[in-house]
Amino acid sequence: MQYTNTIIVKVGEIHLKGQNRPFFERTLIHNIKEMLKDFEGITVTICQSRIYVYHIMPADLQKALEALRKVFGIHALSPAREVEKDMTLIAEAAVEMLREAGITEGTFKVNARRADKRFPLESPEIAAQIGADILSAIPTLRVDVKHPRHEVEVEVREKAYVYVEDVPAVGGMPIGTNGRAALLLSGGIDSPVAGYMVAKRGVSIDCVNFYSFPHTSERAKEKVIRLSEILADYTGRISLFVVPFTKIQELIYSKCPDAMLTIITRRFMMRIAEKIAIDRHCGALVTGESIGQVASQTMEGLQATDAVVEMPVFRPVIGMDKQEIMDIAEKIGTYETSILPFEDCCTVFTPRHPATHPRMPEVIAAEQMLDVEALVDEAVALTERIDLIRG
Amino acid sequence: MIYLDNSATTRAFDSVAETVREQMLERYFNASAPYSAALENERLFLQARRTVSESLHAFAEEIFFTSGGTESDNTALLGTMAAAGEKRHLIISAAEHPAVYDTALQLQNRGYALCVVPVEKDGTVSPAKLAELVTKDTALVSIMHVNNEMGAVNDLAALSAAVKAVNPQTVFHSDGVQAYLRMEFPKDHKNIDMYSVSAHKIHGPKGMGALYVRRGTRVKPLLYGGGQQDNMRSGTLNMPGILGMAAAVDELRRQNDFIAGISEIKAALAERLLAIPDTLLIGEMQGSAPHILGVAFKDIQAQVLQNALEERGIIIGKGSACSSRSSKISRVQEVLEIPKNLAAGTIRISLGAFNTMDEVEPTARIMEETVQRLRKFRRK
Repeated sequence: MQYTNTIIVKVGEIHLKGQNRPFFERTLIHNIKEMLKDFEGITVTICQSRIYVYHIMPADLQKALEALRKVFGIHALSPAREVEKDMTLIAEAAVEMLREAGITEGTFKVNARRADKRFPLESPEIAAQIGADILSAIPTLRVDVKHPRHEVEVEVREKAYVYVEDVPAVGGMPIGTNGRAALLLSGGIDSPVAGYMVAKRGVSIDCVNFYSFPHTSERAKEKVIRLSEILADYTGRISLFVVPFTKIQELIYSKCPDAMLTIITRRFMMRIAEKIAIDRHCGALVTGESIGQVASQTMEGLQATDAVVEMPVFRPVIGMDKQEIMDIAEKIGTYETSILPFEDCCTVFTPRHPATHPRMPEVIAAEQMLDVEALVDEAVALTERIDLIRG
Repeated sequence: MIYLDNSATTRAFDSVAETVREQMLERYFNASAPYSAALENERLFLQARRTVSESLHAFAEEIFFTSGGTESDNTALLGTMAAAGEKRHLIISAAEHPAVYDTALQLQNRGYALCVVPVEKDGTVSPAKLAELVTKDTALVSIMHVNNEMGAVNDLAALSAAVKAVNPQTVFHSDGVQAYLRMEFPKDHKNIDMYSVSAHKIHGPKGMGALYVRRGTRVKPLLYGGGQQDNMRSGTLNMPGILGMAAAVDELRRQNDFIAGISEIKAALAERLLAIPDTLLIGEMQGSAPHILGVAFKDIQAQVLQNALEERGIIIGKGSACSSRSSKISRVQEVLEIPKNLAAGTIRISLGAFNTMDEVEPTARIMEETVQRLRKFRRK
């Protein structure tokens, strides 16, 4: 049978957005079009708060579903078959799709929606007739209109659309609906996960990485580029800012007390990231810190790093265990890259006994050995920008 | 740029690139086809095989072209054990390249008995210790000719003789990838049954190598198919690779002073580098390969030194380049018991036909400056 596919996109929380709903929907449609721009001939429209992606060739369906599963703001996807408005064709499509999905037993019901009022049958009549046709083709199914295990959906519009299942998507809010934030991205497991979690709430992400060549290698930088690309698969595009950090790290190493190295290094990172963030009109910084995971991530450590910035700092994995973070990293596809063994600048000069409970007066005294403002400005000025787009 | 990582790979000779180009664009005919254009290629193939066989004092039919050192080693180990019937014992040395080492572990997983002979402090294998491990069930012994990390040279004539004295039936294989044409092939090679070589380490194409198999040695092929190369290595002849390899062999053998030249560069570099305080020579100068110089710097991370030198136009190697993605201390360093604060700072300089004496001074000077600078940032 000749047909093309349609994907019916079901949105999540956008329903709650009241007066702002058109803005959220427009943004989501834009993001969907961006994601599918390589698919020829498709069209995207919205009707009664459902988004329809039309004219997908059957061979492209799986690829299109995979792509849309990564678009934030989509709650679920229903791959539908588009046929002429003919009851025989609709029934055939429904039976075929049930068989393809392996649905041949249990209970079901048919939900019909007639948007095209010129169609001779009314919605309940469509449902009843298609239900009867399905039963005669697959007699092992039973009808249960109250608590069916499976639901067959039929929509009659300019064409007829049939679908039998929902594919869960990633959820969240459309990218671009909730501002922009700067993610401090190391080569590790946690920060890409933190970036993903914030991006999922509709926040556009810029990445800031600190590069300490020759103490860290070109491959460490490649790794961070790769991680940013994986995040860009979800967000569409990402700008990565690579900050030359060698001079600052070497100066801290030479001039500050051993125990303070880590905390002072973190404070420099935050200052630099905030400068870049302000320039990019970001509303917040994002880090992958989790309480107590390493020496600098104690309550006092976090306080000491927050003290140098005015912007809010989001730490979405703050309460998570390493294993929980790793599970998300696996799911979103960053884990394999994160575990490549190229050292990042966070571990290069780790002291043997870092201060886990730094006292602010001591930290500030130690920093007075350095011309903090000039060093920060210089690093920002020499920062390299790399623009990454999906794919 | 000063390129000192020739044991990882080399720049091809111009003549090699020209040969490959000609084969790809002009003489692209399948050497096994019946038409005359192809016949010419068959002649070129036979000539190339002769070139390689002569370099190993072998008969032409004893040379089989492969996709490189790894395939040659795999064929030697897997092929010999597959043909060995009841005999299920093999011996390798502790310093073998992963192409031998990991293949031997695979055989062990399949139920073969594996013995690993340790190496001495100088990185070589002792013939007496090796002979002690040989039994009547020993089907294969595989000992590398030159160690890829430190340049230690094994005495293949003595080792193979010691093996055959205990069990004349045991097949003796050597991985010659780091030795080929940079060391004389042993004049007394009557006990060496198989020898692996690679083209890209001698300024030939990558993905190209050969395995010498002495007449009468029982070995099963790794690949089945069209039956090329006397059924030993099926697959359409890789003519660009084979002729490119032969061109490299030709050119290197024509350079009479090649080995003396790189030996001189190595000696000059060693003298300058070992004058840097807290620096250790890995292995020995005496009797080591002329192109490999292993040096360990105290309180230095080899990776950081490599990065810093590259920034100044000098490319060096560290550990085994094939496994540079792993940050562990290498198996060979462990075997040699190099102190930990030195092992992390072990680099490998390896020379090739394009290196000159003029490179010694700037290399030594820049390395000394860089080492001194980096030592200020010792890991705590």
